[in-house]
Amino acid sequence: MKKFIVLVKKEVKELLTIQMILPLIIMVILFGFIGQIISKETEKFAAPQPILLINQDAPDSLAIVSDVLKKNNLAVSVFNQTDITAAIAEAQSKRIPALLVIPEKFSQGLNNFQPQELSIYKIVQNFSLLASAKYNMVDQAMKGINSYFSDEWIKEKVSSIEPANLKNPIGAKEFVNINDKTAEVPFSLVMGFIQKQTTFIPIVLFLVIIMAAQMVAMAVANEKENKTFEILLSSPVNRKTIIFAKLVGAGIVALLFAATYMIGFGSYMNGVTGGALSGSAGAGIASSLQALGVVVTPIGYALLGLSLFLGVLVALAIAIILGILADSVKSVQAVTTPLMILILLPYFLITFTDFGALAPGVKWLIYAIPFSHPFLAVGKLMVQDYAFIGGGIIYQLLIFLFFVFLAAKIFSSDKILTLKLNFKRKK
Amino acid sequence: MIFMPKALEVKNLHKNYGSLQAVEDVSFDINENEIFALVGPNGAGKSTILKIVATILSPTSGEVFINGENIHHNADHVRRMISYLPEEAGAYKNLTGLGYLKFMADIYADNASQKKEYLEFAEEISDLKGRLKSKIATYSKGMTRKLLLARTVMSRPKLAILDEPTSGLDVMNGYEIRTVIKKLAKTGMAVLLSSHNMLEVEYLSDRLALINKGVIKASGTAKELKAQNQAENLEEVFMKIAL
Repeated sequence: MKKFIVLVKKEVKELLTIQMILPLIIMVILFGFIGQIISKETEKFAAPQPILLINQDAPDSLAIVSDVLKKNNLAVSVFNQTDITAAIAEAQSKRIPALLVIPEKFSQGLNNFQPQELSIYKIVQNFSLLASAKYNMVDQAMKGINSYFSDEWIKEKVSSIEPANLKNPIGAKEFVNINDKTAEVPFSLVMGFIQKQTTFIPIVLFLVIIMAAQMVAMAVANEKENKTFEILLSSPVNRKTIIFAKLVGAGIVALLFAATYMIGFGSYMNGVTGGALSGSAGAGIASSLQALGVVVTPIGYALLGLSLFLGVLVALAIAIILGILADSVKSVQAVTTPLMILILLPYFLITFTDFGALAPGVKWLIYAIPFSHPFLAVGKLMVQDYAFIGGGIIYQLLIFLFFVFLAAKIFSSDKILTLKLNFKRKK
Repeated sequence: MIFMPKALEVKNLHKNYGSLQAVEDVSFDINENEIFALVGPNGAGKSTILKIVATILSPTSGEVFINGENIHHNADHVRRMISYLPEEAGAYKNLTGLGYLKFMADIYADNASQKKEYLEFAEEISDLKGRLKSKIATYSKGMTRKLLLARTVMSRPKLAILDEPTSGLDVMNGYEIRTVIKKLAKTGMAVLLSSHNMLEVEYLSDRLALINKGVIKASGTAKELKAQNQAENLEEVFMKIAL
C-alpha cells in the first residue's frame, strides 16, 4: 500500500504541471468572463430596444404606431425630417437597429379599409445571434401593429364579436405525458428546462473522458520514451501496483479538472441563463416536472457519478494500453485517435439525435461502446430508469476489468517494451 | 568450505524477437566486488542481455541466477537485489532531483531510517549538492546521469546493471562517473556494464566479454585477451576476433 501511495503521488505531481494548470485557470476565468458579458448583454436586450421613426403622414398615425411599438418593448425616437438617407446615417451613428417609415395617407387608407405598407430598414452593424434577435423584435412589433389595426377593422365591421375571439376561436390546453404521469404544462417549457439542466453534463463528461485518456496515454508514452519505465519495471514494485497507480493518479487529476470545468461552465451557464433556472419561474416549472415524475433524486446523481467514474476508468485502462503502443510522446495523439472516435460517436449521436428513433443496429453499436452509458444515463436519470443505468454500470465495470486484465498481461510480458505501432512508412 | 553464490550467473541464454535472433547461447558469471563488461558494437545484443538480467525482458531460453536465485522463479525478490540504469535514461522532469531520490528511496526502503540512509548515500554519490533542489528539467545531461547513477546504487544492490553509463557525456562527466563506479565495486557491489567504448572498458572492468551479433566471441581480462590475440589494445582484439 505504501508503494502504491508513493506511486500515485508521483503520478499526480507529474501530471499537475504549471503548463497543465495555467490554461485550466485561464479557461475558468474566461468562461466566467464570457458568462458575465453575455449576462450583461441579455440584460440590455431585455430593456426596450431603440427604433427610429419617420412620419410622412398626419400626427395621429405617429401617435398610434409609437404607442403600439412601445407596448412591444421598443423605445421610439422620431426623426423630424423625411430624408431616409439622413435617417439611416442617424441610426448608424446612434447604433439604432431599425428605421420605420410611415408613408403619406397611411391613416386615410386604413380608414377606407385599404391595406397599407410600412417601410422597415434594418441597420445591420454586426452579425451576432444577440444582434439578430433585435431585428426579430422589430418583426414582432410589426405583428403588433397589424394586430392593432385588424382589431380596429373588426370592431368597426363586426361589433358583436370580440376581435380576439374572431381571430383565435380555438384555444389549446396543453398536457404533457411522460410514462404514466400527466401534467398540464407547455411542452416547450418542459423540454427547455430539461435541456438547460442537462446540456452541460455531457459536455463536461466528454471533456473529462478525453482529457483523462490523453493524460494517462501521455504519461505512459513519456515514461517509455524517457526509459523511466524500465527503471520502474526493474524496481521491487508489483506490476499491477504500477498500473493502478497510473489509473488512480490520472483519475484524481481528471476529476480535479472536471470540478474546475464544472465551475467554469457553471458560471458561464449562469451568465447565459441569467439564473433563470433557480428563479421563481424555474420553481414553477420544477413543480410541474415533479408532477410528471421528472425529478433527479440523490440516488440518480450517485448513479450518474458512478457511471461517469467508470467511463473515465475504462478510458484510462484503454489509454494505458494505447500509451504502450505509442513509440514516442509525439505519436500519442495518433494512437489515441480510435479512443477519441469511440467517445465522440456516442456523444454526438446521443446528444444531437433522437436516439430512440435510431436503427436497432446503430443503437446496439452505441450500447456496446462503454462511453455511451454516462451520456445515456443523463436522460434516463430524469425518468428514474435506474435499471437501465445500473445495467450500463455493470457493463462498464466488466469492460474496465477486461482492459485492466489486458494491461496487466502486457505489463507482465516483454510487450511492455516491444509493443509499438510504427507510423513510419516501410522502405 | 562455505559455498558463496555468484553475484550473477547467466547460462545458455537465448533471446529471439520474432525471427530475429538477438542473443545466442550466452553464458558468463560475475563475482562479488567484480566489474564485468559486455563490449560490442550497436545492435550486438548487449542491451537485450542487460534487460533480461534486469527482469524486464524474458529469455527465449536459458537461465539467469542472481545471488543463486533464478530471476524468473522469484522476480519480485530478485528485484530487491538489483538496480538497473538504462542507456540514455531520463528522470521525471517535474520532480526536483531530491524529490526523485526520495521517490526511489520510498520504493526500495523498508523503513524511515533505511530511507534516510539511502538518501544520504545518494546525495553523496550524485555530488549535486544545492542543485538537488532544482527541477530535473533544468539539469544538464551529465547532471541527470549522475543523479541516475546515485539512484541506481543508493540501495547498495548486490548487482548494479549499467547500460552504457557514460554514453554521450563530456570528458569531465564521463571521468567522474567512471571514478564512482570503480569506487563502488570496492564496497561489495558487483557491476555488469555494457559499453562500446574500449578504453572505458579497459579502465573499468575486471573481466569482459566481447560480443557481436548476439554471440560472445571471447571473454577474460583485458590483459589476457590482448595477450591471446597479440594485440596492443581491445579495439584491435575486437577487430581480430569479432568480425
